[in-house]
Amino acid sequence: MSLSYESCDNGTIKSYHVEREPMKELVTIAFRHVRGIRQIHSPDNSSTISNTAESLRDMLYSNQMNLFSLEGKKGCFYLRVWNNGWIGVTTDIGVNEILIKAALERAWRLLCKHDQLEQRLAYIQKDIEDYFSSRGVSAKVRDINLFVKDTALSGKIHITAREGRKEAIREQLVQFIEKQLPHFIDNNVNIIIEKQSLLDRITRDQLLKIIRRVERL
Amino acid sequence: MMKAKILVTGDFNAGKTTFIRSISEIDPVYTDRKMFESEELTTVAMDFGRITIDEDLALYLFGTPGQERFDFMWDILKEDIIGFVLLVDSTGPKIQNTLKILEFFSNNSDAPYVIACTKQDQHNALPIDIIRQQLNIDDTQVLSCVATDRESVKQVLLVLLRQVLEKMS
Repeated sequence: MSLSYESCDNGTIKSYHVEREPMKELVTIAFRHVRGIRQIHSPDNSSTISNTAESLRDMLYSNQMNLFSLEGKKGCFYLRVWNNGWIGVTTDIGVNEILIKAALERAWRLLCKHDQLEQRLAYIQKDIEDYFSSRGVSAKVRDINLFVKDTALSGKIHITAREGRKEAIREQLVQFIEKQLPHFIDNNVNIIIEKQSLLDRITRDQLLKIIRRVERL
Repeated sequence: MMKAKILVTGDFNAGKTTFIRSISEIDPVYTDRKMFESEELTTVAMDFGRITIDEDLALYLFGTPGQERFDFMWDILKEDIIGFVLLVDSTGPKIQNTLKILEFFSNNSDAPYVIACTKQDQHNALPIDIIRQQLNIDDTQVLSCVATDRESVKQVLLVLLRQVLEKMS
């Protein structure tokens, strides 16, 4: 769901694009690993809560506490954003502000990585092909279906390669993926390597030569 | 040397050996034997023909044996093909057998294929539309063919090769 709102910052009216779902995701990620969190309240009536992926970064790193504040104590906290919206958490008594802020920072870092990963995934097939090409590896990407689920990269990469080179190529590919798509160490990517068929090996030029020769017969 | 391999398949007496003989630049290797019950010849292993493109490239044509008891050869022959031609005898198409062959090769290979209805020069040949109907296929190229005529065979091969090219792009 997307919303727009205006906010006043240093006397200037600015427009912001608001998406509430990522905020929920962020908060959920943030508090998932904090012991003692009982419940997260991100109420629908808090419609002015920004997506805050962007704004939360500014808040956390520039420590602009006028934009972001954590209020409450003893098991009930409110995360205020831009003084307009809020998210509430009910916790055990032992949970304090420091823990909650640390959790938010950690969640923000995770989302950053998530964004980077998604950007890289958009080009990963070409990157793998370029990598094979630069190394002189005779292998082709037949199909790629990768996605991020929680904190792991999951899915399938389907490669065709010359017989006898499968294991070496698998090893190279794993190293390449870990370099290109870092941070998500618990990768759950299934690499399938099949014997390369002639159809994979023959080039377009060779095929055009064959066609021209048959035409002349 | 890159050897591009095309498979020529079809039911018994569909014209596979003739098809390859018409276009091959070498005398094809035949494995035909006379059948006990008649004077007709049948292929018992495979036919093989070649078209040289240049010193690094050649097109090989392999024909499958037509008789069912040699079906085990299909598995070997389907390896590393860039495409296949399925021949159907227009004067008496054996639809069930043809569909069985089509199912095997299309399920076990992702290579493009065309169907060529042979013996179209004979008076009792069925029109290709009728054969297409009998085969109940809509999305495959069904072509007219006279396997004894090099030009006709050439046209079938060209349609197939252009499909392969399209698949590559």
